[in-house]
Amino acid sequence: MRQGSEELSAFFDGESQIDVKQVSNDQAAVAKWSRYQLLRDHLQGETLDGYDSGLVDKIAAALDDEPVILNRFSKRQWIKQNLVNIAKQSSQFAVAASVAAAMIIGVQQYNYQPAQELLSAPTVAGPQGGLSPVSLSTSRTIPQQDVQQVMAQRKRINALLLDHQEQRQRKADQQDEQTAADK
Amino acid sequence: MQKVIIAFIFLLSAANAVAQDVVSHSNSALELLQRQAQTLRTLNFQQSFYVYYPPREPQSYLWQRGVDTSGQQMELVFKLNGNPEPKFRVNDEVIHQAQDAPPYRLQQGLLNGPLPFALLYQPSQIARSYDMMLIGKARISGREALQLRLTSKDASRYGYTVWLDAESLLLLKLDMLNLNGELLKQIQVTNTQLFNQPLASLLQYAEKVPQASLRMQQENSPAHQWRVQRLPLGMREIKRDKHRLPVVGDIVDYILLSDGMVDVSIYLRPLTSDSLAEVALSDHSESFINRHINGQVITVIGEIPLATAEQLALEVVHRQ
Repeated sequence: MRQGSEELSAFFDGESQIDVKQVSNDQAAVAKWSRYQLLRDHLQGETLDGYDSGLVDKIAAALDDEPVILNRFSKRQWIKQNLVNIAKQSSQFAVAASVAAAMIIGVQQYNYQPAQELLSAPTVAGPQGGLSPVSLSTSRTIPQQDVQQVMAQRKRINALLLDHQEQRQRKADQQDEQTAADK
Repeated sequence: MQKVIIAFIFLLSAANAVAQDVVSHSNSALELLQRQAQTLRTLNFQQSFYVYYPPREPQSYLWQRGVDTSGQQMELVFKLNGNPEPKFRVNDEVIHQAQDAPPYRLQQGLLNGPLPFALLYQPSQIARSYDMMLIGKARISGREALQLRLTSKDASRYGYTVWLDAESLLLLKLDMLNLNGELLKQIQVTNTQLFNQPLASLLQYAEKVPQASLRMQQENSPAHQWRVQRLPLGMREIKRDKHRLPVVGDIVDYILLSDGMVDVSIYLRPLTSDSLAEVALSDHSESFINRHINGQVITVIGEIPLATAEQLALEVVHRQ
């Protein structure tokens, strides 16, 4: 009987059988099980309750259209300025929900070199292995290094959003005397 | 002069009556919800409902609830479109199922979404964070309904309007609103069926599914020394651990906060040259803040206003 994460992964892909009882005695394997499940759902495009890949798509689109003029403010000033504007436009803690679509306040990267002209759609190798069409207007392609950086950023945001949903699902209770009184 | 005094006394008593009325209505709201919680545990029913996050397409669900002769509580929620992704609770255990994989079960007294189960089963917990008011009556889903308003006590979180069936006290509708009164999320029940006994399908599920599931425990991992200095009123730290993120595998220090209505995740990791950039994102209801503070990358995610998420990031400190 094989054990370990490779075997778990293979079983998960339907490639082999596994003794569930034996696995359940191995807490580390069980924990990995849960993560593989989540990863599988993600790769197959399944969504968790409440998690909408539309948010990530919007983020990805916004990162593609990353604003260019950043060198007039320091990063911190830029964020603060925009957050303050939002707070002023809507009272107190009313939020960017007043904006119809997903609102991007700013994406700032260390060592970012602002482009002098409009950037075209990045030449990104998508899941199908193809390239995105390049705009016919005056443009230049983003250097490969920047493309990889944008992709890495998207992946991180995606991973954080996924993890947030998993943690919520597995949340333990907040029981105490007061809530017990509701019974 | 006498008339002035009489008028003044009249005004005072009128104001007092209004104040008393307000107090009685807020007491009524919590009492109503508590009565609802007690009733809920005795009922067998099925409700179909949808969850709507404007402008996305609504997601439809079915909620089946029952209690058998031994007092065993059973609850099943699943999607009506696409993969059902059922979540099933038997007493204090929740069985999670994903497509093409065996189910696993966790020690949890409540399902976590898509309905506000903490509000329905533990309203006293919610009352820590939200003022509750009984507003009046309305007609919802063809039923006479009692309308309640939940308002964040410290204006740090979104507000809710809740409608309960006047007869059964079952939930009929819930709106989550920002301070401008704009709709961020809506849950609307479209059909309710009450039964004298638990559904046969529910009993079968309770008999078979837990046995076929893997029992999982929350992982014990080394705790970290981060904490949130000032929490929004009524919000509590539910969990802290160190774990790996899915897909990218980054190790993060993690804190989960909750007030029963919303859950907020806080992630910390050291700042490096390829860390996620500082960013503030909002998709109507959910906020995502990523900040670089004192050599740490701090991410805050939750259905809270951006300003609250930003404030939480700034409140994270290292315990001495």
